Amino acid sequence: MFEFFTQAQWSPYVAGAGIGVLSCLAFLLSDRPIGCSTAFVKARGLIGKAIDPVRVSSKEYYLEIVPRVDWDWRNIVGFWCPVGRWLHEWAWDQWFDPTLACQYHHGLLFFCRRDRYRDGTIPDHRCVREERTMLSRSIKLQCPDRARAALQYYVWILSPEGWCY
Amino acid sequence: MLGLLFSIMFGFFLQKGGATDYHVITGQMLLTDFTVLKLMLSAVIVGMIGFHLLKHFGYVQSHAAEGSIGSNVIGGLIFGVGFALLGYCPGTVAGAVGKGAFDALFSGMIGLLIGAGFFAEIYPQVKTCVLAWGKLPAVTVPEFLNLNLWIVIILMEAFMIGFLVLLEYFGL
Repeated sequence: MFEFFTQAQWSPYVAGAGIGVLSCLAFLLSDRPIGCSTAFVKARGLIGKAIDPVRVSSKEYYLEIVPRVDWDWRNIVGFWCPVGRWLHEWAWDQWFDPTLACQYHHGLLFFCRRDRYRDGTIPDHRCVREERTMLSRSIKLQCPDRARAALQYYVWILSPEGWCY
Repeated sequence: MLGLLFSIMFGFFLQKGGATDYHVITGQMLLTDFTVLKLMLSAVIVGMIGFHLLKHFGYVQSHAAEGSIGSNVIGGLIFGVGFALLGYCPGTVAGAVGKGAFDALFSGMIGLLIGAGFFAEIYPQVKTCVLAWGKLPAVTVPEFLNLNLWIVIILMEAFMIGFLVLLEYFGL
């Protein structure tokens, strides 16, 4: 059972059936369909309201679609929300590769010419340069998608595991 | 709280089904990868039976919305262009941001906000023309066609399941 949840991908039929059941549950328990398009419209209204409240409140469209944080909004937040993220990371551990994030971290440290390791020891400079070249090469090689490595790294330093590092 | 829980699960299913992946969605547009269609059709197949059974026993109500041919056709065409160019729809773009896709965050989210603002801007002008072309009443498909509800459901289910079986038969 647990292996089923840790699979990176499910059959689209299973995931689709899940959405179908979810849609019924949403109607049953909250009398609303699932979806999130309207939330973007409301978000745009809220941003506009923060900048120029008079202009936005005078717009006919926003009288019909009132910009406020409600059900639709929660859908977007739900997608982003850390709980959803952690739930997904728990299920899909392939996404996060500690070695990769660690390498990125070291690459950054050397790139920023930080000449001292966290434990206080001062590394040999020539060695550092070689290591830096090697690391940046290995980051490029192992992770062609460097944006992902960077994102993994930033997620990682914000996680409890990263704090303890 | 309920909304949050549902949306987390929705995002989770979209992710597991692979629908938050740019390549999967563009694959669907190019008719080389039918994952998105399989996901959506299975959601409709299960959701349709579930919803109508719940409705039959009086647990839920349907909320048919008004529409118009103008808004649906023109809106659908614009949506399709955006869907194909960006590779995400409004739901999957949020899921892709959660996954860490920068294209979804920077192009997708910002583009959606700009587009929504533009529509709010031109709304008074299009309301009386494009959005009013061929107005459709707020009724469901069986009511519109004047057919028995369960006949329509059985026909549509058979069509969708048949389509998926055909897709599998041709190995797509």
